[in-house]
Amino acid sequence: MPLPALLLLISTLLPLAAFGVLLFAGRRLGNPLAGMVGTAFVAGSFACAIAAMIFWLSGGAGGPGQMAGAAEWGAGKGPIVMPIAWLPTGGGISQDHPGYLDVGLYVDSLTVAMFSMITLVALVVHLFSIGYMAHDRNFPRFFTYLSLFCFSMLGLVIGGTLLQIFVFWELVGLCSYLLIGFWHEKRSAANAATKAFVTNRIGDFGFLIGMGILFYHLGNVSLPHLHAMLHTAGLGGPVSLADGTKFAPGLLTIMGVGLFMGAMGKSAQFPLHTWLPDAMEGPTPVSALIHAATMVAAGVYLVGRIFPILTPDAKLFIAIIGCATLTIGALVALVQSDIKRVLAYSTISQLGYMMLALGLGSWVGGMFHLLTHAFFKALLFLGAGSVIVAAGHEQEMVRFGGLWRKIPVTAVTFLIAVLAIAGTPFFSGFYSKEMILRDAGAFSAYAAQSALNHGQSAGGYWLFFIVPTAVAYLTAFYMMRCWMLTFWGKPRDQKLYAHARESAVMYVPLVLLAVLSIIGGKFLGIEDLLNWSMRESSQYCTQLLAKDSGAAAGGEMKFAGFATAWPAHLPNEESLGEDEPVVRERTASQRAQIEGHHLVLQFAFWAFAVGMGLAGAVYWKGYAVAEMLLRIPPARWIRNWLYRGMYFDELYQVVWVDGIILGLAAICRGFDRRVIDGAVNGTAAVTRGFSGLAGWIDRWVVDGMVNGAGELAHGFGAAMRSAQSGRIRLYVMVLMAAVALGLAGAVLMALSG
Amino acid sequence: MVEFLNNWLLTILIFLPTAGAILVLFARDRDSVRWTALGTTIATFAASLLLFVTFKWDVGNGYGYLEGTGGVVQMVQRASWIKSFNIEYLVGIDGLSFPLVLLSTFICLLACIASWNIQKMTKGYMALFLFLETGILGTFLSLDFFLFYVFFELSLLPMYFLIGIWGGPRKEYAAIKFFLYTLVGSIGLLIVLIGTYLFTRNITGIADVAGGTFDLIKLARPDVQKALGTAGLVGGVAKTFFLLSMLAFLIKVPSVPLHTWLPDAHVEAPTPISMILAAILLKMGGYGIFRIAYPVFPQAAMSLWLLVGIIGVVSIIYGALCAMAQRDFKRLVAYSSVSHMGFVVLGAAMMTPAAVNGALFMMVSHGIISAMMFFVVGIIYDRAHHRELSRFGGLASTMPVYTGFSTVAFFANLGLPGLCGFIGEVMVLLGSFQAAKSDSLLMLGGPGRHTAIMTLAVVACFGVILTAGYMLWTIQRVYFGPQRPEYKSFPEVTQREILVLTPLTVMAILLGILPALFFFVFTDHTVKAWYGLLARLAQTYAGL
Repeated sequence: MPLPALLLLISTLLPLAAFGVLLFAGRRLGNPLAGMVGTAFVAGSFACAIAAMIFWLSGGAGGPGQMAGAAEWGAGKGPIVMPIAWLPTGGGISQDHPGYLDVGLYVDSLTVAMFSMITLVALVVHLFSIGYMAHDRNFPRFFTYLSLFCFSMLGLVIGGTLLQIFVFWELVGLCSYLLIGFWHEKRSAANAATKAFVTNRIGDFGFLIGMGILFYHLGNVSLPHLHAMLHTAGLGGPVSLADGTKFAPGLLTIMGVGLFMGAMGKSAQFPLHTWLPDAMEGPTPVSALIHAATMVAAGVYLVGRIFPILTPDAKLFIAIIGCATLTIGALVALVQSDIKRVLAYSTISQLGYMMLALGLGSWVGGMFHLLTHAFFKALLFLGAGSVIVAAGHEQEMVRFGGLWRKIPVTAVTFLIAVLAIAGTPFFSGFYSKEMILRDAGAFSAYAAQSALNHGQSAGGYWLFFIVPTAVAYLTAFYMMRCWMLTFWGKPRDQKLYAHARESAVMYVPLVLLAVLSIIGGKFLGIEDLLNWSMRESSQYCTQLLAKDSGAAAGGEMKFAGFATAWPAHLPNEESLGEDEPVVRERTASQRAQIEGHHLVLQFAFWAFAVGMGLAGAVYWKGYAVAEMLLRIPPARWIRNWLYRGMYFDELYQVVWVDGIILGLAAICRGFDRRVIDGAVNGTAAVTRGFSGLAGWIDRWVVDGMVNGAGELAHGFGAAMRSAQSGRIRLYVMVLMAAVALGLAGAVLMALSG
Repeated sequence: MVEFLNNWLLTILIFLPTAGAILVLFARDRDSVRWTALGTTIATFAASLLLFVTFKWDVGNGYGYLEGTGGVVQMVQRASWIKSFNIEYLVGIDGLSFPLVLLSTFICLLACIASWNIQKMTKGYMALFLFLETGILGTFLSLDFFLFYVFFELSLLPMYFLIGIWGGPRKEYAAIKFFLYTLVGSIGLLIVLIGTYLFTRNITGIADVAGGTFDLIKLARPDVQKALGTAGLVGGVAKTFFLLSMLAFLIKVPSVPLHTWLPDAHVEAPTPISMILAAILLKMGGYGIFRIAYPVFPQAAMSLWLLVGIIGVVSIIYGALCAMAQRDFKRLVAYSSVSHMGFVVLGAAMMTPAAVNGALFMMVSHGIISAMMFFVVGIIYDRAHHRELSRFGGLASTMPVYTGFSTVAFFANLGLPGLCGFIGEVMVLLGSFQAAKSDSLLMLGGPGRHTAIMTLAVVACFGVILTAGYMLWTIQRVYFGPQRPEYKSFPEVTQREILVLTPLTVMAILLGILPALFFFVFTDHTVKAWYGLLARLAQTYAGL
């Protein structure tokens, strides 16, 4: 087994071991030993991930899952693929184990990067939790769940087939459920947990359908095979398969949208986003780890993994959903007063950015933002956790204010995270967000140009640049607002302010994440890893293709997955104008990239300064200016509408839960009772009536004719009566003896005869 | 020794519980009754474990569904019983019955431990209980249609009394409803049994079925099938026979709209009987579908697939919706059984390797999960003496260990990966999509079926949302929320209860993580042969 794969496997299994230990010995270990055990295992996990990264970068050769003559793995060379047969499902084309559905490992640069990020954030969150949860009486249980989560999340990321991803997808959902409902005695927490899981299940419904369609066509859902077989999906036409059938583009789109539905649930995309703000009922470290950095990004990760098999229509759908989500999240975040809800909606908005990027073909941009966002959003949540502890478990910013004097480390690190998410140059968020906006600009320019060339209106495509750019200003504004209201100005609640204190246990995690939030963009080499990841996948798939059909076709087949990155129905590059001699050497997409870059410099670069400056000005003295603005009725209405999350919750409750599902359930229950059971009981009554009539006839007309039946019924009744009176033993004995002896005797007789 | 086991183990398995029942009748006091019964179930379970010694999952040619594919019927014991009708005492085991036999002895053992607190007429209870086990094992092991029918009916009687005597307030109603419902099905099965036999009497030219046969494996053989077709068992007659046998099995499964006996029977039955009812008795229906209805009437099965498929999907959705609307904890679990057994029916209807494997797996996994669910309900009923969902709440704080076990059961039931419920569900669903592929058995009937298959598959997928909905809502209502004063004094699960819950939990996890090692190794060859047989028969009938 190649070393990186082995190390990552150990890294995955260590938290499972921690789960086992804590499950059976957690109570005995107690507080804080249970937490330390959990932390130690995750630290081991992190160490393994880093070691794997080192070996990965140097690369190597050989090992299972590698094809003959191409046994090279490592950064930029090729992935490690290790399929394991799991379920017998019969037929299928191009499989590692014919007749079986596989699970298994898939390690490439993205996997390695994700492992480092997840284990690091998990480690930091574990450390932080030892302090944060110190006074909870269910301290060991918390770490038990946390360990299970780490295992599930790592299992998801290392998964080489959609089936394995789905398995761990559900397991992270379970952990999320258990941790949101950690304080299950609180009704709101229990409700939020159920809501999160069920909403995710709506997404899984799509995931299952997507998987079903793939399985039905290919008999296989392993990632490299999907990439190799369906890599031309991005061109928008039907895909010819090895067995001579064609995968229709419509079905491919449904498949892509179905799988994306799963991602919509997990990554809280509109319209399945409503569970995430409620998930803030869970302990704050959980929000940092699960509902900001890792699990909610799993949806983005999934879309990243299936990216090469998405059709243009599916990508367009993803871009539209991403665009809607990032807007809704940012707008709602503008007016929230609960610090965690601000962060929750901000997470929704940022996840929207990632989805938009993937939809527009900016694979690196989307995954890059996923990784940088993990650090600064985890930092924001842990900072919020520190604030909440300092404030005696108060989350309303209405009662904060001026806290920087009391908790300076939190204030500074929080500010660093705000700068990062706002896209301040040299902070990590700047690089990833800039890349997304640049690619969005490039896409819009390219799409608009080609639409114009075809005589169509181009206005719609520009929205994919205008909207995220505008929201970048909002992001800077609402995050700075959050910081101002919490840390700046005069304390609005003197009692709370007087008691506020920072806990030393929480320093280290905050500082560590702050450093990462600064250097994550340029100095950790994330971008390189992502570019390598694309190359590895392409190379592996080209080999697979050559193995499967290249020889027969007589030529080398090239993997086209990542190259067909542009969505929508764009014509070939050649058909674009060739009038400008200066840029003729460049391809159309290169020209678009350059234009995208200009657009970002022109419109988005200063978003951080404008947004944060404005927020600083408005909230310099607390709520005063904002309250003045709210005197205007329309502003108040809009504010209330946004404050309640645009009433999505109420709408879903009334229409879906109460209206359709519970309504249908009540109807079914009634139908069951009245109609089906009514028919059964009615039949019985009629039969009894008839037998009564028959009895009457029997007695008065043809007396004695059906005495046998009567006797039988009588005997039956007598037996039942004797059952009540204790003579049942005798009855049972007779019955048993008769039947048993009869049967056994017959058998033995027959056997001997 | 192995030779002796090969010949006699199945017969011993079937009648060991009866012997125990007779012993129980001679036991003097309650304790010796209990220990005798427990000893018998342990002995039976141990005997069934001996199957691992003798069972070979990969046997080449021989008595089985399709020559040359392995997975044949083994350990066959055959003796003439009623000579004039060629009725035999014929028992044997293959991949279809192997997991169910083990499930039965396993669940019976646990149900026996769960019966420890039965106070009323222990002797009669235990005797009937053991007698029921004979009926169950006989059903799963007999390969003679007549013998199957005898055991199928035999299991009915003890169940009737166990519900009717040891049941709750409306036990008479429930017991009679159960009895009459099942009897209606049985009459249909009896007609099929006699009718099929009469057709086999008309077969000429095949030596080993001369004078008619009840042998279920022979009846499915391609040459016999062809001869039966020539003898007139085709078209409308075959469809009628198929439907009548399906009636019997779908009542047992039970499927909508033949299911209303189940909630009543469950609500009234004592906990261990509920466990057996849900875990094993329902499987007799599913087993009948795969052992009798499909192989003996393949042509009808293939032409009536849509009806069966719709019944399966409606059961999944309707059962889930009904479960959501229940106020009684046990009724809710009963309806969830209806919903989950719908997957078995759907899997049969779709007739792809994945769906059939999934359906067979579902039977075993549902056996484990439902036994656990009903035991979980029983535990809380023993303490609270009611089962109204709205009156529960906050049990997680009072009984954390109990809540832990319950959570495993609930999540296994809603199909969480890593636990056994997921495997069956996902395989049936994926297998349903597989059925739309142009080379599947169903698609032989024409490309027009594509849309219907896809629609059924998608609607069935919708079930996963509903299941999650009602299961989690139940957890929320029963275990979460603030602690209630009236339940504060409830004791945590006892040692005996843990003794029942632990093996079930372990099995739920093992089957969920390593399904191949613990299940498919035993079934795969037989399923391949079974599936290959149906594919062959499809051609046989196409040429007829």
